[in-house]
Amino acid sequence: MGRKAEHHVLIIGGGIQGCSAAYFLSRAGVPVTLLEKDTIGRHASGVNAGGVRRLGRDLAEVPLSLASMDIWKDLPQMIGDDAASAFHPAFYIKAAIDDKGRQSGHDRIRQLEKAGFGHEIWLNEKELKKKLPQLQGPLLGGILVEGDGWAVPWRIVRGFAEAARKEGAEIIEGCRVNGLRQHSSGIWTVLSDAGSFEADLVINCAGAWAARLSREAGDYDLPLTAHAPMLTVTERRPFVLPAVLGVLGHTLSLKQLDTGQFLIGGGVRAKADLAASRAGLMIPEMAPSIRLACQLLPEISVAGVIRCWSGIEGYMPDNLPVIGAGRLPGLVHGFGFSAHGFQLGPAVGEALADLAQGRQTRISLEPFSPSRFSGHAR
Amino acid sequence: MMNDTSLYDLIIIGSGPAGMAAGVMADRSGLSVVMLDDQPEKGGQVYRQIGKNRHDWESFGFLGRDYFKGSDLAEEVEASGIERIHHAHVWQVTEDNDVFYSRGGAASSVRARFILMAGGAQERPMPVSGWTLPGVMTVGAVQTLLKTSASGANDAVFIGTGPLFYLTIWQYLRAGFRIRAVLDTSPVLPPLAAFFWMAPALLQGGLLAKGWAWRNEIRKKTSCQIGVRGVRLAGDGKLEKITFTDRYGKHHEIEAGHAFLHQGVVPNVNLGMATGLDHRWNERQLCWCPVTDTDGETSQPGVFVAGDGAGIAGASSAVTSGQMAAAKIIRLAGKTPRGVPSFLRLRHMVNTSARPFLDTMFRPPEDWIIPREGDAIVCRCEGLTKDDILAAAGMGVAGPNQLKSYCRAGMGRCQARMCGLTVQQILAGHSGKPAGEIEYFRLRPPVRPVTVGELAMLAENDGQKS
Amino acid sequence: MFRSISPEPKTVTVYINDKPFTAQDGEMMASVLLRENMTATHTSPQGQPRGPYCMMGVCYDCMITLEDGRNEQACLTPAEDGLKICLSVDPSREGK
Repeated sequence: MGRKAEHHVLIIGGGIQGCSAAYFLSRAGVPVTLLEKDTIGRHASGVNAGGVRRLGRDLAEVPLSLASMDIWKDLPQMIGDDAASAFHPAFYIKAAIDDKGRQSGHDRIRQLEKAGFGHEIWLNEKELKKKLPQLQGPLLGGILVEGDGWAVPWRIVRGFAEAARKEGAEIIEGCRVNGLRQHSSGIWTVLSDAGSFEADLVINCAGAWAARLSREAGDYDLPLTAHAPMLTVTERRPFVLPAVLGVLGHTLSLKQLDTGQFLIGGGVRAKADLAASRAGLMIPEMAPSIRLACQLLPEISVAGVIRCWSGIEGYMPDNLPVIGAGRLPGLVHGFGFSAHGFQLGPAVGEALADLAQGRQTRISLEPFSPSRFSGHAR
Repeated sequence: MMNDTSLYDLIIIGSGPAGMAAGVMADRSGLSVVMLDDQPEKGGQVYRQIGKNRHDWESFGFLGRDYFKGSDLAEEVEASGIERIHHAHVWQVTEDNDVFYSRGGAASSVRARFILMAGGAQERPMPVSGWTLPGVMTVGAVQTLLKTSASGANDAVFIGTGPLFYLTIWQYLRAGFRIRAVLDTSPVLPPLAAFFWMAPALLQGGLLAKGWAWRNEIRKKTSCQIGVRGVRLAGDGKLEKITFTDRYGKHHEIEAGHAFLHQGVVPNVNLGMATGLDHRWNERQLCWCPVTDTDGETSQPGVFVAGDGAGIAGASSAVTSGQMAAAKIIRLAGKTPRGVPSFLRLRHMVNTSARPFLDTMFRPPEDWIIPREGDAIVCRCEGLTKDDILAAAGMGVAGPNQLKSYCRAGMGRCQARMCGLTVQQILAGHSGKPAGEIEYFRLRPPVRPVTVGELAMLAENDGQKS
Repeated sequence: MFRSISPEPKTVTVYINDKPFTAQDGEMMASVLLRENMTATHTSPQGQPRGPYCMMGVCYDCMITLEDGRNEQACLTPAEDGLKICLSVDPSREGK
């Protein structure tokens, strides 16, 4: 069952990157088919802590993150009011609880200023305590970004998928890609559980499974590793935390959802089993982050944790994603977001759509080049 | 935080008949055994508080001789070298056989070569309209109150069907409580299929005869309606009245402050599923059961399940299944099993012989598994009605795990214990697929709430694992 | 209303929303509540009153708050002398 296409784009992977790329492409009138091996947003994109932040980005990612935030603000027009309501802008604070943290915070602000970015603001101890009086010390100050917030990740991914479908994209779930090869003509044949597809261009958004796909295609051999960052959520508690909270130099992400539940994350990793698509869980490993949360917000100690979980994520050794053209013509990569790709999703999708159409991207993707690992196709 | 880095031979989770029987045999055969239970006393649910009550026939004799059969087992446990930890709430079993539990607000862990999950069963959800009203409880709850404080309520209405249903009403009558009414939801004519299973069931003929006698006594001594349909529980802030339709289609209304529901029990699968053990759908019992070999070993080597938690089969089967699991564990541990009853497998077979008959006889009909009314609550924790579930299902969901993203069903404290089976059946009906093809909620530890502070304390112990 | 038919063993004093009540030593608080005709202990997310249902720790509808602020199941909280628990529903709403 081959499907012929004129300038047809095939996207592999139904996470935020793939679904937003599908949206931007189909909106531009390009025929798109997206193949997702499980269900939309089943893995990293759908089960993360939902942080929508510019704060703390690697310098190389900042332009992409800032551009993405502009798109987040336009979400209702793109994916509808209902899906967009899953985004809760608030403010993000990364607090310094020790001298090392304060120093790194100061260094960070200086580094950003030098590069021309002013979105991160330093709060001194007094200002921080005024902004978040419920926090317990030691508090030596912190970095603030107003407007950063959180979203219910699955609803956002689904929002992009539905919007893409409305624009004409074909999205097939439960469809694993089993092989792909490129003909001398440049056309790709993609073998899947739903038969074979032909496309002029393939976009590899297969997350933790993307490096294997790249290798199978005969493209770059990229050093991606798969892990399962863990999260916990508590029962409903009275509202005390209006911000998303992190800690400079320590692993913690703490937020309180609109239901009143606390969500504690930060990125502590468990094992991921790619073959079985199973994300491991090692609860004691989260204990240091959880203890830090209790230190900052003592009332959280008595909250009951009602669920822990993890998701399968792909990590690159330099913590930067792989976004850009493959070595082979007609292959574009967008993966390896190392547990911080959710907020970047809209801008990445737009960029992937630009690349697929041979257009100049708004933001330079040079730092994310797949060729940077000097790995070559086998 | 207490941290036991010494390796036990066997951790038993649950001290009901299966756990007790297994523990006694393992201990007698020279294994080091620790038994964890969330109750203050051994006995599980069926022999709840038997340790205290067994000397008090005067106060608790109304419970019947079957209950007191547990006292021998209780005595053996007391005489054994089993280390018993009570008020222990197990919340995780890792793939390395670490068992994490909470006790008095502090988290601890213990490790063993072998683990026996003997957590037993829970009531099958019975999502009738108004079942969340204060004053409405399960028949199992009634049993617990009888056994722990010999307390009960007068003028209650019993609604449901099944062996435990009749047993409890019979006990209530013997205890001298007034029963307002019994609404028996069994179909007027027993299902034909039940008669195919009569022959093997006769091996447990005594049990059947007893049940038959109770049922007749109840029909004589209480205002009992058979073949009841369409029950609605109503009241302002608590139960006040019950409406139902009788077998002839006539509408009735009863005033009552207490209603006790029951339509069978199902294995308590949360710990097993969160541990990652393979499970299969049991179409006859309409529930999930762990996949095990004949001795109860699961898909995780060294982890066993015995008793009703492996599949509903009653107290005497729980004992023999616990003994079979223990015998295999003891052999795997390199020791010789002692105190193995003669013809153990044959005994177990006899103990389970009435099960197919009982399962088919008391199989809840479709309109008791899925509420008829759209406004009946399905997910108690999140307060979601059948209409809420259907609206979310209408968005196009593959199963419960996508459903919960839309409407939070299954995301509350109870981790789908009260709604999982109902949601599964609703989605089956909605999609036209058989129930067994709908996956269950993806469960993960902790299988019960643990405070943030307790988890934080796990950071205090580095090098906790030897 | 629940009543006991066995002679009561050792009793203790517990406090429910700061009011003293007598309980059997070790009796589960859910049983004490039912005997005192308090069938609701907390509310659902929609504000509906909820109380003990299963008495075995699987329904999570008998939630009470302990003195240290933890929410616990009343059916798994044994009475001890001086134990203080809070219900988040007003017990005075209960009728006879």
